[in-house]
Amino acid sequence: MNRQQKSIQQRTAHGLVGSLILLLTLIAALLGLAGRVDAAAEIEVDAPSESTVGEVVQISATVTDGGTPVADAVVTVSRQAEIGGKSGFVELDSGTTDEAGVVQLEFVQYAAPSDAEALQVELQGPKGVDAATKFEMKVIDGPQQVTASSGADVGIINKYWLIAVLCLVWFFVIAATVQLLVISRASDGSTHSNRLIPYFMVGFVLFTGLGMFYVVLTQPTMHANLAPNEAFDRVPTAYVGEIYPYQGLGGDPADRPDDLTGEVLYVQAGCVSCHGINANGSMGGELDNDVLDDTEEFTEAVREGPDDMPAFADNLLTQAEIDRIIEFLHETRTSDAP
Amino acid sequence: MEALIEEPGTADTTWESRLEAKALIPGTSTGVAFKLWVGGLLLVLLVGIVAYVNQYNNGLYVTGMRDRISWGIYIAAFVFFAGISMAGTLMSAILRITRATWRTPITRVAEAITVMGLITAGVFVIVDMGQPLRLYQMYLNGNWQSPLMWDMMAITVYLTSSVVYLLVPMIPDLAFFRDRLPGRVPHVQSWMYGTLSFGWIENPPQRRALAKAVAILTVLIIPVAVSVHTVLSFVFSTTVRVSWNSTSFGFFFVAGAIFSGVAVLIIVFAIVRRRYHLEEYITERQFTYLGYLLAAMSMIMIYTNATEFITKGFKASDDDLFAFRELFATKFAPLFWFYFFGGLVLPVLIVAFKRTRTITGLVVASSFAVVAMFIERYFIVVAGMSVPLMPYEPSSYMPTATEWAIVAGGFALFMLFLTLFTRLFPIVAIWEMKEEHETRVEVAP
Repeated sequence: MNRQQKSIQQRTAHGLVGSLILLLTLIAALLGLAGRVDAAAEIEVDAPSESTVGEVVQISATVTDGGTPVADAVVTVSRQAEIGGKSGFVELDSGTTDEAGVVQLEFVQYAAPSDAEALQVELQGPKGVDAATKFEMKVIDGPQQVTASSGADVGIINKYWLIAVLCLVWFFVIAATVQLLVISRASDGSTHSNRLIPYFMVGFVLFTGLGMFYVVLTQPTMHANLAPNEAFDRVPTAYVGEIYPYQGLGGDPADRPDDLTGEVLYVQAGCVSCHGINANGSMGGELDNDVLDDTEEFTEAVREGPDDMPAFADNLLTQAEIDRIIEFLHETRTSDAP
Repeated sequence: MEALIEEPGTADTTWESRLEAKALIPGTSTGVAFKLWVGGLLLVLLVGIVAYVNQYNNGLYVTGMRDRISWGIYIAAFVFFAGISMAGTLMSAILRITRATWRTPITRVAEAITVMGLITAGVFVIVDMGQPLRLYQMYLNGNWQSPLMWDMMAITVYLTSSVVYLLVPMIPDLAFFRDRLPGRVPHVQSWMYGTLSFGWIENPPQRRALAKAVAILTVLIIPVAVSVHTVLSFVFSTTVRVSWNSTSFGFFFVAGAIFSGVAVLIIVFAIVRRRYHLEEYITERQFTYLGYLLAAMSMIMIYTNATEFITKGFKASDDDLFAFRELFATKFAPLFWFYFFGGLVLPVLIVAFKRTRTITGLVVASSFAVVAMFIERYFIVVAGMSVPLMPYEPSSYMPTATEWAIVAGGFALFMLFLTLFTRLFPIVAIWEMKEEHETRVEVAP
């Protein structure tokens, strides 16, 4: 019995402590709210209504508390952003107000083009955000977000210098090799020597040398640090937050050979990367016979793209192609079955 | 064997006939020792080939190379053999241009070392590639802005011109073999002499053509050789690796190439001299001069090491300090200090004293230098790769048995090439020696 009594006492004690903690938390929360209410600070934001990607955006904010300007207040501007499935505010710039309560903030517009980019100016208090003003800004598509700044584009430094060096060197090598031919031809024929061999050697040297020219002449300028050219610009960088439309197999389905097998389509259209080689599923779901049997529902899923799956519209996969993929998957699944 | 080459009418003992007789010895003689030597080399080569087949089938995974240290002993061997190939250019072209007459007995072997060294170097590039069939991609889809492509261009020019440079001055000697050896050697061999002597009958147009070719190549091959070794250093110094961030790498590589080239020459000459009884032509004089050259290059190497380490040590960035610590104190310290004292200081000391400046002494000095230079290439590659580029754990590399076997096979291949060359081709430049002898006799009275 003693043990049971002790147990009851313990439970009561735990309950008391728990209640106390809850009470204290509530009081703290109430005090916190009261504190916020006390600081009736207000931020007035003066920002342009639209901006272009790559442009420097300048905004000014005025902090007042009951009509009087607040000096030396720390103010930040943030943008709502989504990274890796998590949404939140990303700080872009911060500053301190002057005596008139005004602060100038600026940032480079890196957001994806949109009609209403969500921004927020916050007044940072000692315990967190004391006040916040939300506003929206239209973002217009502009130049590439990140452009190659390195690279010396000196027009006269080009591949023809290398060609010139190759010309010079190989001219001498070939000139020397040709002397073998001269020696051979100057012979009186009293010795047994094959007259074709020197021709072959000159030809071989010529061929080897021309190979070098071929490489330089046929290959484009690819190194961005050396004379960047238009044909080989740096890879365009994606805008932050932008989801690229799925490109599918590329090109118009009408131009595609219509004899691509279901297997080829399954791989090339990209199904395989999520659903696996045997359609066992990994990132995407398993494509078992239950799923496959309902052809209509399956096709609809492919067309619309449930959850995170990209949608394969008519311009990406034709109905006949989807049918062939289904056929292929049926065969694969059947042959897999024990 | 020597009795074979003594013809009834020419059994006199003039300087010329003795030279001719000596020059013909290698072409006709095969002893038991020779066969054993070739057999041994073939065996090592076979082991290397078996190891390579294993690597080909299982991929580069069988080597010690991984993502962080992706270059290993193959690249070290590649640089080493490319370096050795500098010997021919130096001995032959530079001394030919300056009309240094003492070089005539030794030029041919030096030129041969150039060709064989370059071929072996090329083999190691292919071995390092994993899938050798991708080589054609260099032509089809090569990027001409890549240092690797410059390297291929430089090596192609160098190999082509050194093959021609080896062949052209050999034509009169091959013609001599063609005229003197038929009936004593297998038919294929005399067919080869006939073909490669291009119908040489020493008439004036042929002499003019020969002189022209030699003149063009002699001048051409010096800048080409320098370009090969500097471009080879670009492969390293254009890569973002701490230890390779150096503007003096080109100079460093050329100096190292000449140094190791001279050392290999001394060793090969000593062997050829004894084996084919060429004591009368390759005299102590040649060895002494080569020894001076070795010592001079050795001191230049000490100096280049100093420039390399002082410029980096002066700034002492964290990464450089990490590299220095590995090189001087921890991981690579035994290799480095052996290289420095055994490979650079010791040869200078051996050459400095008259007592040790003998042929044996020079061979010992050269052997140390050759081993040290291989080690140098090894730690340039591996120690350079082992400095982390990002804050990850420093990686380590150790060649596996496969790699050792392939490298041993590569060395065997080089020696086999050279052995067969000395066996089949005129190893002393007979006509150049005669020419030089004549002018000396004319000038003497």
